[in-house]
Amino acid sequence: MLEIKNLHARVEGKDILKGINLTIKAGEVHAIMGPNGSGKSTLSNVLAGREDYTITEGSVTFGGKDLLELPAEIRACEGIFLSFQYPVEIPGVSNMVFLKAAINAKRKHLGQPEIEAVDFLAWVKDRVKKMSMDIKMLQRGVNEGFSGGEKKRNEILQMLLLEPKLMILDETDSGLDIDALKIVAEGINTMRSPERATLLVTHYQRLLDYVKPDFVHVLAGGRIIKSGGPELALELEAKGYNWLDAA
Amino acid sequence: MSVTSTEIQDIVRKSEYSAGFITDVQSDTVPPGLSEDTIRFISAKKGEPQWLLDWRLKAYARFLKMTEPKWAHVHYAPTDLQSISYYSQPKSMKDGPKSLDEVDPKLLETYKKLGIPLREQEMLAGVAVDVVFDSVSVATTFREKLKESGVIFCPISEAVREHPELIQKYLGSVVPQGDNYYAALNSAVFTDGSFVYIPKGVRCPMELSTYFRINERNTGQFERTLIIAEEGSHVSYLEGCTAPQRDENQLHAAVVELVAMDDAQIKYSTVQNWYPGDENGKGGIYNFVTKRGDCRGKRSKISWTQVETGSAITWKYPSCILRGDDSVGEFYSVAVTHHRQQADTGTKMIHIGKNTKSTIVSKGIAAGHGQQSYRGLVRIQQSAEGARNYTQCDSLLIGDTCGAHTFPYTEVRNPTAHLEHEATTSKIGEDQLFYCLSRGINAEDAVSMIVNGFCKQVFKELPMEFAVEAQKLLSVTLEGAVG
Amino acid sequence: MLSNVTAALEALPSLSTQRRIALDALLQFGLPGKKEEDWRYSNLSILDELTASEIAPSLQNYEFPSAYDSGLDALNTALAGGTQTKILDGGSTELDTGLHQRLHIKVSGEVELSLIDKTPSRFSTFFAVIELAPNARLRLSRTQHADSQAQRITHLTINAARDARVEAVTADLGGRFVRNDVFVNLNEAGASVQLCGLYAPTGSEHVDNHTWIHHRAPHCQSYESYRGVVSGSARAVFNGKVFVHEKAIKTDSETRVANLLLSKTAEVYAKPELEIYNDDVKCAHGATFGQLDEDAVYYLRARGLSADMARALLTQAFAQEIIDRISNDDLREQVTARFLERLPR
Repeated sequence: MLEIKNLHARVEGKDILKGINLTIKAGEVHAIMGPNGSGKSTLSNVLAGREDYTITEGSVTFGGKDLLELPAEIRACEGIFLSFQYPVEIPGVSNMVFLKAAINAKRKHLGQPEIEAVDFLAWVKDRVKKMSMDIKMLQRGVNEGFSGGEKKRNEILQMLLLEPKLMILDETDSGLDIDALKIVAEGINTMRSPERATLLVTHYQRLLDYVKPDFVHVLAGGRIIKSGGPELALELEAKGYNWLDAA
Repeated sequence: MSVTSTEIQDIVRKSEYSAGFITDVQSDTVPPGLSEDTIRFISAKKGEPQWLLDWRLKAYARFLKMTEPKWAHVHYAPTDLQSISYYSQPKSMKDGPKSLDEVDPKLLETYKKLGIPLREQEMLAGVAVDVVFDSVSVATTFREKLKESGVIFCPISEAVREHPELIQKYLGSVVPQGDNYYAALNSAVFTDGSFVYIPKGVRCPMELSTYFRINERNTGQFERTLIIAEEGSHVSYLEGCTAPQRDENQLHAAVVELVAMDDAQIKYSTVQNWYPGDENGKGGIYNFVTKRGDCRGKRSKISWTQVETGSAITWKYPSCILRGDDSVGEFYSVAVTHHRQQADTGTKMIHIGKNTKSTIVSKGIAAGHGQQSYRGLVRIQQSAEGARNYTQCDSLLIGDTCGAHTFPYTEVRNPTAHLEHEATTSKIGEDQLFYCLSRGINAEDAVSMIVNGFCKQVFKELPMEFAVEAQKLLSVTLEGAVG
Repeated sequence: MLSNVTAALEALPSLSTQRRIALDALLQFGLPGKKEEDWRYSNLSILDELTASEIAPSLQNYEFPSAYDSGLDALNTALAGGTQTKILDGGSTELDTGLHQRLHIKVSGEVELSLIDKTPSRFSTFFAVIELAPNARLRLSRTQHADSQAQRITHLTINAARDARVEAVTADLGGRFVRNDVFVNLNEAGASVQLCGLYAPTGSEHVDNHTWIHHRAPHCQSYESYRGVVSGSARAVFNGKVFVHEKAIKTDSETRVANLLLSKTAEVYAKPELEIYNDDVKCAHGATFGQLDEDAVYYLRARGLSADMARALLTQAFAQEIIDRISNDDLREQVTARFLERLPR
């Protein structure tokens, strides 16, 4: 589904990614772990299409298409979803309006008709319940005045509604208490399917207790320096990242 | 089947300014030029009494001694007042239609195209409309129904004939003839406009609305609106404006006067969509308007809401004179300038009475080469014990060639006054844009969504139908502003 | 108008040709009148009240410019006898604003500069252009507590080069008619300015602070905060304009002005302005007018303070926000004391 080859990226004149190679197949869950500043968030943002980054080398294909050629909104319509580390507040734009616009943008892209208002509402209500959120929150502006945990839940809610092919979760566990973490993890798990792939980007292995990865990669200094199974995450948790420098 | 390039252009043009068509009617238009004779002609055409002609001539004498104001942050080729025709009326209107059946079908069609059906059965229930086409009012709807509750809603030229005592008493009592250059010009040459009188204790049973349209080439529109709300009455009034797409600049210099007596409330909403000129700044309306409300009575309230998306140049400061104790003034504004549009707009809140309150919320959006200025004055007179003002004034910039400016004057002469003014200027949030994009929403829709969110505080002050219209206009105005 | 200035200059033991040219320029330009936006609330015709001997031009002659920009520029040049150049490359320096002076000050390294109103003159004009070299840091204070007849006009132009930083504090605690202009030009990337001021006119004093901060280069910062405590029949004017030029991307700017009016006849005119010609900016300004927090007054009274004392204390706290920024300890204490003297009892 996703194939990253020798990806180099630079921001504000600084090289952050220095040759990433990673292949993700449908149905797989990959976790990218690494210390702060290793380039984790850069990777997420480059995949989602943030324009502050310059790709200096390498390629990324998604479902056979050259991903780097596509603008961010087309990537989203094609099925890439980034759950933001810091979800953005958009004052005055209600969540409802926002969600509907996003869903219809995707449907339009896929040549489908706009969603019926009634269906939309029923669908949203159902998913909101799943995320243990209050429907009233959706009348408020996008993430406006939401707590850190509410913002993260709102991200997962959007994910449930947009039904992406590739879910990229950037530090989704940060700032969540244990109950919220469980709800978020459950949200992610309901989305797991043989057609969908997941990329978890995280500093801690906490989230991995609830969302079991198939593969774990360690990112440091802009490269993947080690790959392995779920056991690698536990090893990292026990020994910390410094152990890798020594290795 | 292939589409010709003219058709494509038409489609493109339509999406930009859908009100830009011209109505092909035969018009009686006086030759261009401004003189005492022009004024005598207008007055005679309207069959006005001598006192009004004298009033006009007095204003003209004042006008001749004044010079065009230069302090606003706008630049434009000077207007040649001698090249404008000061009176134009569709020929079919010569005798004044008695009912809609007598109105030229072409005119009815024009308003239908603009989304304003005039046949009462086709109209939004609960909105009465007065329609001004160039220099004359062509139709006023629901008059009979309004009459039942004692509300007068008619063209001002008719009010001069039917209710001279009210006109004599109030005309120029809020905006004096010599108030400013354009107000003086308007006082001399105003042609039509709306008159509203709400008697004591009456809550106007429906929204009142005037729709202004400039059609004829080389004409100016100089309308005059006067609204009087007697003790304890309420009225909500809406105003909309459009003009055809023409290469020359046309002048619109209106005067609006509002009077609110004890406990009366006037809500005045404007959606201004005069032709803004093309993307290179050719053509477009010069919108030089004086709007002022006088809260004469205790606990009276005047609220201005404006959405300014059109005009090449806007120069407009709807103001409140808070004379009555405990009176309230409000100003909610969204102004958008794109391409080469320039707007210098804001408000004045003059606190005279005790415990008077005012609120100002201004949202300016500049894109392309647009220039946007907020200019406001909050004055607390010595007599205004316990006055309060809250001002919030935000500007949003889209693109690196536009400009946004803020000139808020505050003058305080009473120690019990409490004023808070907050202003911010920033570019449209890149994080917000990316967030929307990453959810599949394209840049254009994302901008329009973010901008609408930015303006929400103002839109919620508008009556429902107008709010929807305003949001659409905003999106259309900003088309092509990014990417 | 200006006949008194002419008379004062002609009364000098010798009037140099250069000074004569400056005087001619002044007479030709005249002084700005009320019609000019920047002089809307301050009327320079008050200078007519001065006698020729009160104008007291400097006796020295220095460098003269070849041309003049404005009447005020010429007035100051004629009275100061031209421009003196000073080079400051460290340490502390004190200058007297009670005398007519015209200075060109070059600053490099870390410099503390105090402009103090020492000479008890009736009238003075103090104009200075201060150039900051790259990376220079200037801590500037200007304080005055001139007597209730004094007229003061100060005009500072500060030009900051790459990464230079200015921290300026001003305090106006006296004078019949005081007008201070501060122009800051952030000319090169990374330059920054913090400009703070206190004004506390009382009686029939008039104090007018006009500031202009020009962001002319990318990545510059400005922060401005003025506070006023206005009593008696005094009149205070504040006009703070931030101008962001086309190329000044990544500008970060904030302006705050807060006022306390302590009497029924006091007047304050405030206008924080923004003029912005590029979109990559973060600019904000705020203006407030208000009263002391009556809950706080009550709280202090409940702890045994008299109402007057409680008010004085809270008013002081309001002003202290600015006063505390004065880096020189002695000066800060003096300003605090003078400020308290001005509060109504």
